[in-house]
Amino acid sequence: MTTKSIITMLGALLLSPTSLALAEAGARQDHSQLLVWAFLGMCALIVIIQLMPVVMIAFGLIRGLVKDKAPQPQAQAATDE
Amino acid sequence: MEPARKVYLQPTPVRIWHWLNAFGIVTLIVTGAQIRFPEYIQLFSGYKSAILLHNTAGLVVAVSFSLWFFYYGVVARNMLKIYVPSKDDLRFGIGRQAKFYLLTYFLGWPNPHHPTPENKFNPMQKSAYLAIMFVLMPLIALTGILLTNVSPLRELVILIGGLKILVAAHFLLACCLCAFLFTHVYLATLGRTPLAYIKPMWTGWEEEEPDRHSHPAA
Ligand code: HEM
Repeated sequence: MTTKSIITMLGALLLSPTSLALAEAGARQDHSQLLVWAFLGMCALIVIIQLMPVVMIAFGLIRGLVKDKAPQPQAQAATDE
Repeated sequence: MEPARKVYLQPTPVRIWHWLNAFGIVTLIVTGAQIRFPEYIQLFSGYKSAILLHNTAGLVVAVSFSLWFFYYGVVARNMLKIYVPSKDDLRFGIGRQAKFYLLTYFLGWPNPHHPTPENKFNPMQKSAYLAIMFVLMPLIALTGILLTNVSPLRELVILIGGLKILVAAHFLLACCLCAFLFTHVYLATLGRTPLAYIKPMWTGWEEEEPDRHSHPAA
């Protein structure tokens, strides 16, 4: 194959609207819902990642509170002696 | 050496709003470009997909804008203090800050503004953000809402001058927002490292710099 024919073929491939027509045909099968869900998923990810430190602090606080309320046998033994 | 002092500049609601807003607006710009120039731009599988994604992103941006408004207006109650430039800001601050951006930054001089939680923006940031958040965003949202509800809001559309005017206004406002975005992102990279001002917008904490104390994103 000559260089000229390769260039002509590539040109035809890139410039012809066939690829666009194919893309359009794909679109008719509708990927719109998928795109919207992907977008909303990314938004949810942003919110979850940003809220993670808050949730962890709240979790730590609750754990601290629960620990404080539980009886501490070792400390008791130390004061008994 | 003293460890770098950290300031908590960006509370969680502001960070959530900002990144939802940024992601939403980039999506709006890309899908909007395809809707406006369908012959030249075909990033998403089809015209219909672009419209659906554009409308969804618009909704997310509107909801996150409400979060921003609620946080500053009702919870923190410091919206005006943070966003409205003072007389001094307008008389001297803007000039001083412009000189920094255009000249002294490149000579390695320190930023004249030192951010604190109650005064986190320099005078140029205040003016830019005031225009964006109180004029541009509401107007672009309003024209967008009208465009997605032409028949129920028919009278209002006619009052504004018709569909063509509305479409043109929405497009021009979007171009302004796009121009802001490029400037904003460029200025956001002018820290000690390109991510030095972007990280605090993600984590909330900004490290005070030894020589350059402020973040020049505007
Ligand atoms: C997509 C990329 C974006 C990046 C990398 C970015 C980066 C940043 C950074 C680093 C800050 C903190 C510095 C400062 O307080 O000025 C900031 C704040 C801010 N940005 Fe952006 N931004 C982006 C998009 C946007 C968009 C699309 C808008 C608005 C339409 C916007 C509006 C704002 C506002 C109003 C603030 C001040 C927030 C506050 O503290 O109340 N940004 N941005």
